[in-house]
Amino acid sequence: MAQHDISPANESDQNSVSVTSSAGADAWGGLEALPGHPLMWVLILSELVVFGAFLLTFSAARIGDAAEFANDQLHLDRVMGGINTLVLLTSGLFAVFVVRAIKKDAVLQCRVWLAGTAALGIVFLIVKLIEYGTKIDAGIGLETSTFFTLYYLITGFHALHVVMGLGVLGIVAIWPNLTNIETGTAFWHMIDMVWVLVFPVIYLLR
Amino acid sequence: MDRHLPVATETDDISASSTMPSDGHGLSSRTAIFVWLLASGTTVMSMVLALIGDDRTGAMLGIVPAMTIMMVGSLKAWLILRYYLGLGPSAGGWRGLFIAFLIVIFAGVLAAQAAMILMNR
Repeated sequence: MAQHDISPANESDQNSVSVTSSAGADAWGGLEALPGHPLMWVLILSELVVFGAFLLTFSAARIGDAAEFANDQLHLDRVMGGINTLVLLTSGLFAVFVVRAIKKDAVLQCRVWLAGTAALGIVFLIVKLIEYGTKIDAGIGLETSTFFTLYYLITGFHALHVVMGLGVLGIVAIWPNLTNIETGTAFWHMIDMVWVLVFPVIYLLR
Repeated sequence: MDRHLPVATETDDISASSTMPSDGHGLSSRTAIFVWLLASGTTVMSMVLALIGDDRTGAMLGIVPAMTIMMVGSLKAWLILRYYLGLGPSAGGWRGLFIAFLIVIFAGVLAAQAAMILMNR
């Protein structure tokens, strides 16, 4: 496995010593080759399994009551869902620039991009709250139907991850070294990736 | 300090042709923006298509439109995995595991769609 010298910003990073020292090489089964702390990748993998199970459960439930699912889906706002997809994709791009900035040891620039990433995360949550508000005003709640139970469960669980992601971005902004930044942005990209799968399955397929 | 990072000179890395500086994932600004444009463009396209074909009757999609929608979603997820999360060839078996995850979702959702189409014939 190739080893690279990295920017001075990472020289004080103690985590990478325990993770990738030659004595502990491959202790994480190859996860140490991925950006950020290997433990974050364990978390990412487990989150993907959970969201994957959610999406497959949603699809299986559709088989049982296709007509009701199609009818309930008409109440969803595809434009709002699409806008939120664009918002998260853009925040993902900003997260790439966060990593680039810390690799150049530009801490201020890194924090500016982090703020931009987090701001778009907040926009995502605002759009989501508007969407929920519209549904609740129309009398559509968690127990209205199986479709809406799964809709609130899956999108709500994802929104909760966005909130957690904002917390992670805030923490790595306080201690911005390479491993922390890569760990935080990896979590953010996972949130982004899950949403690009949730959007077509819940909002578009019928 | 030594640290393991994915090799920047991956053979399938589209950033290899870029003249822009790249980070440790071998990802240049140009590549990152290209990925964003591709993902955003396909999102806008699928939104427009969904709105144009939105007759508000809830009619079931055929297998081809459903497959197209899922392929676009899976493509975006793969772009994020490959370029933003840095899962290039140097990620080894883990890369295969993540790709397998996408394939399972893609196949599972399409299988459900196909089952519904068959049941409604």
